[in-house]
Amino acid sequence: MSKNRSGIVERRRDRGQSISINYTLSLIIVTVMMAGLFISMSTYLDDERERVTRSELSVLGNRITADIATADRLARTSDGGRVEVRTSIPPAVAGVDYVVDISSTQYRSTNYWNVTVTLKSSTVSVEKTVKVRTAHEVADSSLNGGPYIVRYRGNADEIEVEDE
Amino acid sequence: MAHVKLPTTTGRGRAQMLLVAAFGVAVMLVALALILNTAIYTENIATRGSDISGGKDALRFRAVTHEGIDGSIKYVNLHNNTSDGNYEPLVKPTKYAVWNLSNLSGRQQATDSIVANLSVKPHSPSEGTHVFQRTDLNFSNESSDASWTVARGTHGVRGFSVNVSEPNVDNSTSVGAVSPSDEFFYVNVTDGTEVYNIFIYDDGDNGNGIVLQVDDGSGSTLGTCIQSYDSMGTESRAIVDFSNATVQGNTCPALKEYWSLLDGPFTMHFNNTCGVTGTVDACLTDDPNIEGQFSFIVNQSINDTWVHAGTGTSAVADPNATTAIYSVTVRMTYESKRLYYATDIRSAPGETDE
Repeated sequence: MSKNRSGIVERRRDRGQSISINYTLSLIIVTVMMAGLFISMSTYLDDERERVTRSELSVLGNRITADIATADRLARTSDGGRVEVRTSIPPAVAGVDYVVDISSTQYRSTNYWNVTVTLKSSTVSVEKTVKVRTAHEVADSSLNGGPYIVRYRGNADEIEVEDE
Repeated sequence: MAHVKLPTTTGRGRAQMLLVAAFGVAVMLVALALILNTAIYTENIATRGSDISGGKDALRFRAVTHEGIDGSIKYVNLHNNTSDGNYEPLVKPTKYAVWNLSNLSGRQQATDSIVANLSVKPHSPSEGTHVFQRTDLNFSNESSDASWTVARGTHGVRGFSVNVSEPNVDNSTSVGAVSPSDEFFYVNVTDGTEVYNIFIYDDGDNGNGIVLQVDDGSGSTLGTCIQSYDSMGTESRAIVDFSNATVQGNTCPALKEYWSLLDGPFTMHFNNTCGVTGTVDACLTDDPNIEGQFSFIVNQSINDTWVHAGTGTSAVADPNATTAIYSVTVRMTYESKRLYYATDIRSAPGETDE
């Protein structure tokens, strides 16, 4: 027990305590809270990035199928003719590369083809598929982003999609 | 007791953790901004239409070009036909019309940064013959044969329509049961394997008007169409359009079907125009089974020997035949920054496949 200046006896409140443990404890608590904050923000960012990537891949997929459908429509009305449609897609989505795979299978036993366009983002592990039906076969191919061309030649009677 | 205490600092080293955390949050915010940027870009692209390459414009241009060439053919045939077998007065204006159309539309498209061009393909335009009868007479040829060959081994007939007055009356109770041995006019079309007979007669006591009956060659009826006449004073008239498959302007399914079933070159006869099959020169002695006017264009040159029509223009020598352009095939190219479209356009106004 010690006396302060006015002579009143005060109780010591800091028995069994150590400054360094106090200091370390505060440090640990703050560190844990910061770590928690970072982890939750990082998870949130990952979720957002995945959502945005999915949405953009869907939009790009629909654009590619729209171009294929346009080329198919023109090819149907052409008589021994040629069609070329030129567009471009961005090289990366949300900062990540992606790959586009295009393939087609015959629809039952009719003269129509089911075309499947699959977009895969390499690191965010998002995959989006868009389908369209055409009157001409679409050759299997893959795109990397950047300018591409959808081509129909009267003699080959199939639609080709390739990077330019 | 010694106080275990760290020497107090001057207070400048405090809040280091907060600083680190602040840096971390700042980096996260930058990453978030990048994601937001992508999202905005995506939504922007999503608002654009799906036809960025202008495919619809290319198709519109094709349709308009087709109409333009149709119009040119009709005009040339109307104003430049002759019976002397010379096709130059028809071919030259047709080619010139296409050239003109190419220049005009090319210039117009150029204002939208589009290069458009038309050119007539080789072996085009194709020479045809316009066979017609413009006064109300029987349907015999100039030698008054009751049954005669209208076109032989031809690949197409277009604009075929018949304006009928007073066909023979069928007084039997069941409609659609006449045969080639009866006294009713019919058009016989055959490509060697398929045979079609198209009868035109009056409904008789049923009073419903004109009957069109389509048979296959072996006597089974494929379909009938009955429409009422237009009455003009004491006259009753009806129009049968074979190329458009209509009777009095109403679609006749039976007429539509048989054209598509013909394959390859075919031969067309007018039979039983007067009396009954087998009697040559019958129209000099017998009553006509049908009277009226008709017109069609055949895909064969007038210089081929099969054309059994008169070559004069006087009404007495009806039916008549003159030169005509049957069809034109044109190569169209349409090129813009994003699109290249090249196709052949075949123009044959009034052909059933169109």
